[in-house]
Amino acid sequence: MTVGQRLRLVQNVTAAGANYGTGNYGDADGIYGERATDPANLLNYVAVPTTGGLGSTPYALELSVGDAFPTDPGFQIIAFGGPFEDQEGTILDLSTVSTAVLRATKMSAGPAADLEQTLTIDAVNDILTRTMTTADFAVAGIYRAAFVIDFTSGRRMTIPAHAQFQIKVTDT
Amino acid sequence: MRLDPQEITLYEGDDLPGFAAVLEDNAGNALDLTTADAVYIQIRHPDGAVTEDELTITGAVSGTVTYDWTGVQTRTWGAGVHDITARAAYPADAVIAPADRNCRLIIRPEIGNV
Repeated sequence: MTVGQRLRLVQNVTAAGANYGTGNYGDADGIYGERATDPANLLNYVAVPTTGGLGSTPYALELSVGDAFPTDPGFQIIAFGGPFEDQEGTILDLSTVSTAVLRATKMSAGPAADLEQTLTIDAVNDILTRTMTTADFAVAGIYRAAFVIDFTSGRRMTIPAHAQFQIKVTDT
Repeated sequence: MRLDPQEITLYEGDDLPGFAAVLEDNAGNALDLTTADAVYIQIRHPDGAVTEDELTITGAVSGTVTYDWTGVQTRTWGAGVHDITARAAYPADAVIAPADRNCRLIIRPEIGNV
């Protein structure tokens, strides 16, 4: 067997630069993975629509130009510590989120369109919502979208990083 | 969808997720960093340029290191696939991991420049 060095990514380690724990990694009595305080210390995050008639795939949100319905679509951010199918997922605690916006770029043919919509942070239920207006989606098309989350620490994360999140706006 | 655990994906301008890793051999034995002078992260960008910075040793015996890249850095480095290696510098020699260069940072282009 060839022995070489590898670099194995790990999670639940706070990246704040402070000393982390006292136990050795893998020790039965080690405390590795139990003292992380960074709310965004996992690798994989997805945005899941909450109930209320929202679809999931292939489009997370499907509506017509000028629609203001659903009036307040909500999304939860689910964190995974590894491959999705192996994990139950943890709802991201939004109490340390300062701002959240939905950004989208139109991918389909026709005039280009970018949009940015400020979201309401429901830190009690850990849901991001948007009070829709008729001006939210004024241009029909298929949008590539993501949630840009700014934490109170000043750090930023865009979700989802892996899975594409799409919005379909149909012309009337 | 199974994700390669040795990849971190984020967008230009993102600070998170951060970098945390264990230096170890293929048998899973952690590299003891107790006597290391320092551990450096080397990020090779698509254009061939290399960024090197010192890692924080969060667990010397466990071989655990972390790095806080910033939104300014990820925007400067730009969208693309960036190779990551770590170099543990000892008084007499150095250890570079991973040997097979399978650790990557994938930066996606920022969405909606509005």
